[in-house]
Amino acid sequence: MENIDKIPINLQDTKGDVNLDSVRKCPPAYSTHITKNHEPQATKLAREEKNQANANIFTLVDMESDWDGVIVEIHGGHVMVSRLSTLGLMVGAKIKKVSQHIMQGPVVIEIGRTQIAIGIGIAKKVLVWVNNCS
Amino acid sequence: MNILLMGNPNVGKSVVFSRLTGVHVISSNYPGTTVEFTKGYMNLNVETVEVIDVPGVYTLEPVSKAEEVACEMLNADNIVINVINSTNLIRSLNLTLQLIKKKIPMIIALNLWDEAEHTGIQIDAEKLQQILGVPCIPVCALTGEGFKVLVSSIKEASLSTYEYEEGERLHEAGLITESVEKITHRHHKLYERLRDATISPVRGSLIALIVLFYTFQTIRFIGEGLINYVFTPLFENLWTPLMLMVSSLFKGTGFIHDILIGRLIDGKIDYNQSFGLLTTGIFIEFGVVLPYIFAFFLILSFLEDSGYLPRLAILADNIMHRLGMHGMAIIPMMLGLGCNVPAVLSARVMDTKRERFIVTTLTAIAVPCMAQIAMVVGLLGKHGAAGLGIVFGSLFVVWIVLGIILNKVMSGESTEMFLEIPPYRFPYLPGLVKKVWMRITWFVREGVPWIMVGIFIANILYTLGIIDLIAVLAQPVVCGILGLPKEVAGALLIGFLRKDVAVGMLAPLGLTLPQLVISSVVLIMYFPCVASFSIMIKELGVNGVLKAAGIMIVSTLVVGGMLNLILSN
Repeated sequence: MENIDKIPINLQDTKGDVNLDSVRKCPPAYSTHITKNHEPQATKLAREEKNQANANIFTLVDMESDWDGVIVEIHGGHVMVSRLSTLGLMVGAKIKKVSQHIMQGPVVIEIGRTQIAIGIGIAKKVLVWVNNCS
Repeated sequence: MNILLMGNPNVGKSVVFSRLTGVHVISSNYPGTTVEFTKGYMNLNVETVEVIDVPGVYTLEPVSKAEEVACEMLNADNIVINVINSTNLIRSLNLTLQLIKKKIPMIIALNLWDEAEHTGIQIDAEKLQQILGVPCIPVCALTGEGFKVLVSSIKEASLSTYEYEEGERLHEAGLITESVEKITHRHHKLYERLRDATISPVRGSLIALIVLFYTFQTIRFIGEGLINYVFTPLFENLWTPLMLMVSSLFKGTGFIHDILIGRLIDGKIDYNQSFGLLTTGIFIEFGVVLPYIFAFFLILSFLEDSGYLPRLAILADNIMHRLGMHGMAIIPMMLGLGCNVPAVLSARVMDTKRERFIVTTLTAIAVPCMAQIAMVVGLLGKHGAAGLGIVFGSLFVVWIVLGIILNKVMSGESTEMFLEIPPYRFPYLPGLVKKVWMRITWFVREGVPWIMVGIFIANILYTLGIIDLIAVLAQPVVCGILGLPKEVAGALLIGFLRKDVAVGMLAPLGLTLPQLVISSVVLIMYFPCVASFSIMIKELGVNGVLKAAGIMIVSTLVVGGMLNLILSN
């Protein structure tokens, strides 16, 4: 977890559309018809930077075992967010994924010294900025 | 003035409670063991005060019912002993800070102090006391260390002077933790590897299969051993001669003789057929059921205290989801293999009413208690393993199919598991022995009277000829659908009172193996015994129980009928 400081500074900005919603909002034609040459240099850079940031963001389900990272977003209502926070699952918490169970089974993560099992339905809604995905 | 014991789940409140009051309550190594408020009394400066063991909560925001009730009890007349898990200070402090806002005098018990030290966590209790302004006492509830100081500090309970902004609570808990806690070294590698292996999907499942296999092997080994080498000799050499003497006092006949000793078979007492209170009644209880109950509770208590059960819950979560529950439902089910009464109570670990209904109904229908298992094994075992295989195999299929159906039919969906996995602990032996003893005495206290009542009523009904009447009335169902002789109706009737007695009533009927299989399955499934039934009414309400009972009767007829069709061909 030592390279936590390397989280991009624009994390706060990307927080709102981390879920790649912005990409999905584009009409399908956008990506196929407009070649990269037509794209202004600045936009291209911004897009790449953003994709790079997004590329490091996974749900707890998509993460591989042994990856660690920082929770950046929890999609859920007030009740769920406060329930998760009771066991330390909140934005900013450092976590490590321990295992993922087959057939839609729960995800096991480690926060601090304790391990927590999370049903897959909740785990899908927790987004993590991963430090060491290869 | 009352003393409330409050803290996160699985921090050892119940162990502290037992230490303070001498009242023994079941404690285990998983969150949610305590689902009811338990009251006890302790002497404090010649005054007797009430101590209340409050189920564990993570927050005081009333999300669940337990939290709601806990909040209501927080008023200034009471004192709170906030039990803290020293191995996870930050999480415990989150609750402590909320308690502080409630303005109640409190003291803090830093429990699991020894375990924290073992894992390299050092907490400066004095500094914590200075920061929070309330007494902070390190204790180890299992061994009783630190309790003298804790008790003498109760009178020093005070309002905390600590102030913070509500929105900053978690942050504040972190800051306090940082300033009082020092971590030196971490766990052993071996421990970590064991811990991770048991929750990894593949290795974990293999380990679970091995653990379950040996669990049942050990239960069988201990149970059979006790029966063959302890209880059977005791009955043969001591009890039978004594009973023959009693029998000869009554000259072997008469109403009282038949109630106490039962019918003599060729002038001898046959524990399977005589059916007297002192013969078959005592034999079923102590000669058949108790050895298995003891073996089961010994192994279960060991599994509970070691911390393995929550891991099993994680491994079973994906299956449980398809049956409308989440993984933690495995815990009530495991308890149900011992006795359905504690199982129904512990269904409260489930989050929603829907899940509690499914857990309770499935347990009542398809999870036989140890008393039934022991009797069925005794009845069918001599015919080889095939019969037993069909009985327990059908129950397993019923469990799966009924769960899938209930999950599809009932509105709503199963909630997600969200569980802190407790660390593995080697069970503290004096605590383990006490727990097994409590469960055994509880079983004898609750079980023996009902067995006696069951046998007494069975005798009266036989003598008055009522059983024959019922047998005739029930003939279309018992004979027509289930393919059993009509006399089985008597066993079904007594099964309302006590299932093991009912299984015992099958023995003298001379049933064929298919009939034994069908009647065993039917007896296990068709209705809960009176003890489980009353606790179900308490937990599910009358409407819930009526629904559950309907499901039971329908599924019993379907399964019994199908078994009859398959086995009679």
